[in-house]
Formats: sequence, structure tokens, C-alpha cells
Amino acid sequence: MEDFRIVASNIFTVWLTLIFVLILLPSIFGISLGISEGYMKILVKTLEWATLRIQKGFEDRKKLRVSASNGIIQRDESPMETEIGGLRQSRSQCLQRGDFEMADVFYFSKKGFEAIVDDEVTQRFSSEELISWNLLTRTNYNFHHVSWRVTLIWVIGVFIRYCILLPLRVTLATIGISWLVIGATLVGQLPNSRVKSWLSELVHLVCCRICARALSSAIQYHNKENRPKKGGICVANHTSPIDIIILANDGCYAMVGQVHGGLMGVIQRAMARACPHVWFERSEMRDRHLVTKRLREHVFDTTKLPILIFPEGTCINNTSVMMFKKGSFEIGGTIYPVAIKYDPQFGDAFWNSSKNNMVSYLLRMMTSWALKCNVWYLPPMTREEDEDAVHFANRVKSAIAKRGGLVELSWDGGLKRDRVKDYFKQEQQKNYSKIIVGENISSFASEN
Amino acid sequence: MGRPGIILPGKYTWERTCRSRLMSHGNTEPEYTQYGSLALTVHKPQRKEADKDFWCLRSSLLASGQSRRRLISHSQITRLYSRFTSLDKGENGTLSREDFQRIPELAINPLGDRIINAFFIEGEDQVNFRGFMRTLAHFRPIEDNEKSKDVSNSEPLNSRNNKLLFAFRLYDLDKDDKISRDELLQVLRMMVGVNISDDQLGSIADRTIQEADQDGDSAISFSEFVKVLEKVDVEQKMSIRFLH
Repeated sequence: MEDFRIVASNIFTVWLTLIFVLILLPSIFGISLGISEGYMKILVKTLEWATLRIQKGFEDRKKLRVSASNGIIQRDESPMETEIGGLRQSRSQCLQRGDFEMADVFYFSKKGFEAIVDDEVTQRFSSEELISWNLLTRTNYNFHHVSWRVTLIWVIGVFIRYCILLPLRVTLATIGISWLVIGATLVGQLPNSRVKSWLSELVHLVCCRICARALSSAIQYHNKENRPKKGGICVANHTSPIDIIILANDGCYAMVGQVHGGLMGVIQRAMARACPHVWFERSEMRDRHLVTKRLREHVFDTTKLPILIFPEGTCINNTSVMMFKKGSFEIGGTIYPVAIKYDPQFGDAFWNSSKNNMVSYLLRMMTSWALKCNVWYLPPMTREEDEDAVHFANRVKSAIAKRGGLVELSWDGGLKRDRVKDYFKQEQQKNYSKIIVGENISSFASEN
Repeated sequence: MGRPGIILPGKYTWERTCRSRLMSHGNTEPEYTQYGSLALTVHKPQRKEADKDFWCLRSSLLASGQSRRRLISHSQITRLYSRFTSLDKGENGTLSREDFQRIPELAINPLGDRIINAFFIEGEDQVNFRGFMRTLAHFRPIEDNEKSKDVSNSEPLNSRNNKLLFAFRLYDLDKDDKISRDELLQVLRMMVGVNISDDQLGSIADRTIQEADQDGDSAISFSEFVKVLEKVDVEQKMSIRFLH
């Protein structure tokens, strides 16, 4: 028994020493030993091999390749006028354009069925479909042809991911978070000075580096010259809470958000002590004016860190950018747009908050192969003089979508939870009314 | 996190049961050989019913290619099945009206409620995968080889006639096989919202009925409906083509 205890404590010491020397020290100094690069290379090779094996079974893999990226049905995107006009032309009787036709329901029912088979919005709230199986558990109906060799590799993968990577990553994450809490609390005791902000940035950076290693992340930053500077707002597309770690790996940000309880609350309080973040009570969040006022104060203080905001307001599966809420674009100041694109091959970064809670999400991330992503810093943008916030928000959104290679949607990400507003249906009805009676429909609508 | 996929070699039970069912109907033995082994995802127990439907449908559809041409491909039906499960938020193997209304593009459709209604059998508030596919089948394009073939057994759901019947039922709110002026007015109101006055809408309805009505009962029967739309390219306007 005694022997066993000694052996166990020895193993534990060796484990910790290895972690300290190989991972913690490099992350404190922000250098890389090249271990993760080697790991990624092996991973890419293995996945390529598995993809080849799987594809061998397919008669027509090219078809499969296309199917995942574009929708699954042929769609006619022409506006209502042309479509219904088309229905009219096919009748030989010379009715004037305008007037109601029994055939008009064809248009609406076809649109409806297209939406049932495949729609633009709801698919963005569930995990992206992969082109080839990545040997993780997300078995897809598309990947039927699994040979025994691939299965063997999968079993080995499960062993590596759960028995080696998971304990390592959990240890790292624990160290990282305790480092942040202890470090930030200590730094918080110091009087306000340059030394304090320098130390606090160091604590934040090191914590994020350790946490990023806990997810085996390989992040590539592009156009570093456009990195957000003090006294500005950084806006990015949102896939998961991990976005924060990804961005904070390369610079410090002031966070904006709600005060949480539990572990998150402890972390938040510690962070707030070390440097000024903007946390709101739940009741304060509803007061738009107060939020804007506090954010404006923060932004126009050039000694304070840039604010990090995700204007979509919800996690999207990283295939598209949805509507940007205008709030953050009303504050003023310089906007630094950032596009984040994850590589889904190594693990699915999307947090489906309605399906998984935070813990199971983190567990899934820590048992994935790795987290590979690209971050593009875009040139800073400012609101033009006669531009309204909505238009400016759309402009920033387009820039991010274009850079990150994401689909730009005008739908509100809030549709994840809420029903669509009646307003959009009324717009459709208005359009149709114009077709059947002409432009002069406004008089009746205003009476109602 | 989903449970790992189970890999079943060779033949498996669902297909076996389906096959015996099919063979008793006098069909020839379907070709399964090209699907060597299959990975089945394990779902929650309630899903089983839908899963069974899926496998049966899949194999019966694959088998029904008497003319050596499949009506719907394997990948299409798997896609529709995964669409079905992703719409099924309650994870009980059926869809409710609520599940349909959660699709924003359908929710803004002026006739969205009527379309959703087409999926539900009178008095039921759930639709399973089989029912889902049956309604969707109305929008399957008509293949060239189907047009020429004289329909010996039952008429397929995607025939011109059935497509028209589907549209007719969108108007026929009380299911008495007639579109009355009142029904037409209600459907028109759904389509135009508040933008057109009652008088104007009434005259539109009157004119439409007048044009279509042949037997003078001030309502549109299905045969009158077909007559009105005889020149419209229903086959094309009421079909959804898959890309693959």
C-alpha cells in the first residue's frame, strides 16, 4: 500500500514537472516548442488517410463534396414579382398584369416547401456538416462506408483523446484558471499605476495562453498591424465562448457582459479587480441608456483596453454571419472588426447553448483533436457622418463575412430562441398586395 | 455528446424485416450488396419509431426502382431524414406545428399556416417521418419516364392532378371539396394582410369565382379549379428539384 502511494505520488510529480517544463514555461514567455505543430501534422496526415479510406467506398465522392457546402435543393432566388409574373404569362387569356390569380398559391406553397426541406437560418444554429468524417463521434449519415481499419484508428483515437489528452487538458485548464484568479487578485491589491496595468495584462495573457494550450489550439493571426488599440471597440463574429480565449491570446481586451454566479462569478470578480472590465447586473442590462453610457465612458478613456463585443448576440455555427445588433455601433469611437474562422476538421467549436451546457461543451472541446483557427484583423472602421447605426453595422458585418469566407445573412441570430417578428410577414403581404392591386395600397394600411 | 456510432457488419435487422415485408408484396429482392456495412447512430429510445420508418422507407424506396431508375436517391432520403430529426426539437420522432413554425422562412410565408396544416391529418397534432415524406412527395418533380408510363396501379402523389389537388386544399378550408366565396376571401386575407380593403378584396373574390364557376353554384369545385389552371405549368411551378 505504502509502495503504491509512493509510486502514485512519483507519477504525479513527473506529470506536473513535464507539464510545467513543456507547457507552462513556454506559455509564460509566449514561445512555442513545436510540439503542437508536430501533433497537428500527424493529425492532418491521419485524417487525410481516413478520408481516402472512407471515400473509396463512395461511387461518386465529388457529389458528396458539393452537397455539404451549398444547399440541397435548387432554388430560384428571383423576387416575388418575377415569379408571380411568370405564373401569369403561362395563361394565354389576356389579363392585365395585376389582379389575383388562383395559381398564385403555387408560389407561396413552393416557397414554403423549400423552407421545410432546407432553410438558411435554422441550419446555422446546429453544427456544421462536414465533408469528411474527422474520426470524432459526430457520426453523420453521410459517412456510411467505414472499414475495419478506420474503425481501429477511431478506437485508438478515442483512447488518446480520453485517456491522454483529456487529463492533460483538464490539468492545464485548472492551472490556467487558478493562475488568473490568484494573479488577478494579487495584482488588484497594487495601487493604480503603469506597473499595475502591465502586470495585469501579463496575468491575463499567460492565463489565455495556458487555456489555449488546454484546447490544443493552433491559431493563426493575420494582419497584426490592425490589432485593436486602446480606446476602441473590437467586434467579431461569435461561435462560442472560446472566441474570447482565442482573441485574448494575442492582446488584452476589456470584457462586456453580465455578472454571473458560480465559478464564472469568481473569475469575473478577480478580473475586474486587476483591470477595468464592464460587468452589468442583470437588471442593468435592460437599461439601454445606462449600458451605452458606461460603454461610451470606457471607450473614450484612451488608457483603457479596447472593448470586445460580439454584436450577433448569440453563437452561430461559424458558417455565416448574422445580423449585427446596432447597439455597439451607436457608441461611437473606432471599430476594429475581427473575423474568426475555425477549421471544423479537428473539432467542432460551435456552442449550441440550447443543447449543451457549458461543462459538456468544454468536455467535448477537450476531447476533440485540436482547435485550429484563423483570425483576421481588419482595418479599423468608423461611422460616416450621415450614416445611421444600422447601416454601419451592416457595413462592418459584410467586411467580416467577406474576410472570413462566411455567408452573410440579414436574419437576426435571436431567432435561435424567439419567433420571427410579424413585421416580416407583413412585408411579404404588402409585396403581394402591390402585385395584385398596384402601388396604391397605402391608404387602407394607414387606417388600420 | 452523442454516443459513438455502432458499426454493424453486413445484414441488419431493420432491412431484414423490411425486405420480408416487401417480398410478401411480390417485389423482387432489392439490391443491398453495394451497401456493405452501415454505421447507425444510436438515438434516444423515443426516436426508434422514426428510425424504423426511416430504414423501411429507405429500403422500400430503393427497391421500388422497377424501371431501374430510383424515384428518390439514397442520399436524398437520408438528407430529408436528418432534416426531419433536426426540426424535431422535442426529440420524440414526430413533428408538431410548433416545430414547423420555428423555421423563420416558413413563419413569414403568408400561407405558412395552411402549408403546415397540409402535413397533419385531421384531428392529429403530430406527424411522423412517413407522413412528412408523403406530403413532401407532392413536390417531387415528374420524371420524363413517369410521364409516358401509363399509371396502372395508384396515381403517384406528384402527378399533375395531385399537385393541383394539393393547391386546391390550401383554399378549401372546410374540406367540403368546394371553394366558397368565404373561403377564398379568408385565404386572400392571409395573403394580403391589412393592405387591401374588404370591398376591394370582395370584388376580387367575386370576379375569381365568376370566372371559374361553370355550374352556377357560386363556388369552385375541383374540376372547375383544374379547368382554370389548365394552361399553367403546374409540373414546374409545384416541384422542388434536388441538386444531387
